[in-house]
Amino acid sequence: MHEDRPFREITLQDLERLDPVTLRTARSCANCGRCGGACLARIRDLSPARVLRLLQLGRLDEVLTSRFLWSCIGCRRCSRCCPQELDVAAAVVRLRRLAARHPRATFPKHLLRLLCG
Amino acid sequence: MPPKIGVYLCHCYGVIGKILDLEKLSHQAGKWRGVAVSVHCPALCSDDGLEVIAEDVRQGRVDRVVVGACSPAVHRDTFLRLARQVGLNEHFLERCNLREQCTRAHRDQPALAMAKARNLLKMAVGRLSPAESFEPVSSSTSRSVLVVGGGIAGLTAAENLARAGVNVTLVEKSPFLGGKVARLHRYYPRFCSPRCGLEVLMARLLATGRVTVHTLTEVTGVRGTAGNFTVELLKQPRYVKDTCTGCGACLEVCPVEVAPSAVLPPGRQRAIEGPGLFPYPLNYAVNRVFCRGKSCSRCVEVCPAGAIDLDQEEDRLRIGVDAIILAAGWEPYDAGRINNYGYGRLPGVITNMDLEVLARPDGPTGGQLIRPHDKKPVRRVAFIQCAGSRDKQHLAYCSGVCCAATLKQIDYVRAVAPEAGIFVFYMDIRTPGNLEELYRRAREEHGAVFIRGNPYAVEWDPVAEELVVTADDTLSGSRVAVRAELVVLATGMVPCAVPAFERLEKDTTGFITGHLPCSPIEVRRAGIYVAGCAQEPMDVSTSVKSALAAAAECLATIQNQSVAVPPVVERHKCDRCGRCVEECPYGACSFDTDGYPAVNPLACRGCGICQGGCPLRCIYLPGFSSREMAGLIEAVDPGSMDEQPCVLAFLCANDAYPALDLAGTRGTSYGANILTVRVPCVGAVNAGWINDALLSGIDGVLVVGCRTTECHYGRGTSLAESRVNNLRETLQRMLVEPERVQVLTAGIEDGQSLVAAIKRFVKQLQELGPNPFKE
Repeated sequence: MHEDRPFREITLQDLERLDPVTLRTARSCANCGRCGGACLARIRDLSPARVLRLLQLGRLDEVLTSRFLWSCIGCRRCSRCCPQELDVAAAVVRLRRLAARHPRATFPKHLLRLLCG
Repeated sequence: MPPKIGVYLCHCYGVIGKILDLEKLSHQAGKWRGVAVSVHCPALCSDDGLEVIAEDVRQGRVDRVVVGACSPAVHRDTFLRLARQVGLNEHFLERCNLREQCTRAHRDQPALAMAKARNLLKMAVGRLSPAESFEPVSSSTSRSVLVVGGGIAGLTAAENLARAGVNVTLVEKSPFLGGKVARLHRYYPRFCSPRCGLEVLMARLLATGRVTVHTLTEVTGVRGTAGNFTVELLKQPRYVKDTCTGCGACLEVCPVEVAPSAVLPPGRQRAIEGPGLFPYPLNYAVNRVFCRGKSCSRCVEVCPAGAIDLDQEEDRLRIGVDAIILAAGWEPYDAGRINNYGYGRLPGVITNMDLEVLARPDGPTGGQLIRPHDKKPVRRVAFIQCAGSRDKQHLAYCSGVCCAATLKQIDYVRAVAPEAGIFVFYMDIRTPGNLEELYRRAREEHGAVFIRGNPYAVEWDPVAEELVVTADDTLSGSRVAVRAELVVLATGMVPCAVPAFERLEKDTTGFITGHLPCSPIEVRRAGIYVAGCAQEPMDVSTSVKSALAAAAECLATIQNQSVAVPPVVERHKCDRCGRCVEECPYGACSFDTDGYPAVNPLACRGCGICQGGCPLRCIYLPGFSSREMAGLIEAVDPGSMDEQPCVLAFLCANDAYPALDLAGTRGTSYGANILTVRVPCVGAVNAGWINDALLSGIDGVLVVGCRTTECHYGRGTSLAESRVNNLRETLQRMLVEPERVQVLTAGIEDGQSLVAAIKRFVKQLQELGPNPFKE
């Protein structure tokens, strides 16, 4: 059926919550997709490449509520293969900090209590 | 004979005349020493106005002319034409800016504007009195050029120059002409055979009779300057004499097979090679790297013409040429360095250039699309674009032609394998202009599948014996895999290194790009031009255009219709310190046999940087001799500025002077105490003038040039800055405040910010107080 609002508007204000390094990484990404192909921990079609793309479109919520952020095993294949030498792995890990505080985070709540008291 | 100076003031139909009292100025100027005629006219650029000046010159009433009117940046042609028509040397014509930098900018200070106008006119007269006339220098050259590289760019440039009457020596490192283009199967956009175009070009080149070709030859040394280069050549032995008929009997018996590349099997290639489909020269050549030498000698025995001589030795030549065109071309980037793609490791992984070889009917598979190592028919081909390109770990730049090359090769694949699956992994498809047609054809007619994702790795499935390419399809967000018999890597271009030219400036890509966008063809060493892929990655059409451009630039230089007047060297003053030789950005100044500097008129660009740096002021451009500059500085009356500090400003003709003109045209007002002198480059300002100016009581000196990285002559502004810094020490010792000199920079549009900077400087001078040397 016809949607009320068929286009999803790009709003970038959520990105103000990002630290400058992560923001810069997202902006520099040329979307070649290599990190996505390299990632060993892809889950439900989300990958480092997709994460950066969503950030470019201002869709921070989808990133922060994803399981992918927590499935990263730190192999750093993404950072190593990036043609722009972006530290993608570091960005993914840094996003966890924001994700942990998100009300719909997929981070196990009992562990959160352990970390934050 | 004392000079007879005519001072002509222009009302500019009131623009100047309403602010300045030209009757009064004219009357005052008429009393100055050396001035024979002093008049004012409604408009000097009009026919009537020009005729006034012309008549005075013709009748011998004046032999030097000061025009007090608009900026020298406008009506350049008007007054030059006048000078030529009446036989007045252009160095005896001085323009005084009474409009853009006087009445327009000082409308609110008419009295001070008058003082400024008087000063400017007196400076012009003071400078013109001791001036000398100069004619452009023609040097005779033998009109010969060296072209380095026998590919399409080199051949095109050579043919064009030869047709224009120039003697060309063309050297090619490999045994045969034609370069990479001769090895292509087809080229776009017409999909014709490159050999056809090359044959036409070669026929025209040979018809000129003015091209001497040396194959198996490299340049080992270059010395000299435009109009006079000495080049050392090293010619490797061919081991085959000119009696060779190209019959190929030697090829049949040679036991050594040679593979065309690291991943292709040997076809018909042997240690002795023939020219293939483009027979220039026809003679075969022995590849010493692979040949087993005299112990084998099978070719020697079988040759019916007795043409093979394994005892040949290398030869060294030395030639003199006026100019050099560097067209040494490109090499494909080494795909073996891209670890994850398995080039050289996994069977079936090849490059675009390898595919060109395979596609040719005389290639190792006879033009069939079969896997080289096991002859398995290829049912699926995967092309990987940007392989080792746009990647900081390999080549950071884009080579521009690999997209079109792959799309062209998709046509090859379809022609021999109508049912094959064709996949293209890409990041962007770059097909400008009508090359877009290639992209459309690949999708619509050839049914190629495009996957927007750069593959992480190419792997080998040992069970199915096929290659697997995996990538993130960024458009759908899912990971995809393609199985293929053949994977083609679209690798980028790197320039061929020519050691003798190693010190030419390159940009970050490693290509020799010249000064973009103003002079892409000519490099900083005057007389050396770059053409084709030596300059930057380009396709065949663009290489041809670039070669023609290089030939045109080259011809303009060696036609020796020089219009530049090179600087004068006063040998009796010169102590041969060599600073001018070192600082010239174009290598135009060199030591002659007596050790004195000599400037090559073909290489000189008239920047004056030599003049700016000379500690003894013995090298100068016309108009800037010590006497002329002394005349100019002495003419300034520092006390005429009505308590304002008197400032002498040197502005470069490229950016600074027009910027100040612009400020005036826009009506921006600033103090009329700024007296300006136009110089070709701020690097032409000699510290001695600044010294003299301050000693004669001028309160402050400004040196204004282009922004440091934008200097049209490269290093003008940075040299000016270091020279002024050194001068400051001297000034301190003379008990003159070093802050009285400042270097400013401005872009051509920056009139407003320049005026603001000037105002700040004036304020600083007001705080310092008047120059202690002022009377």
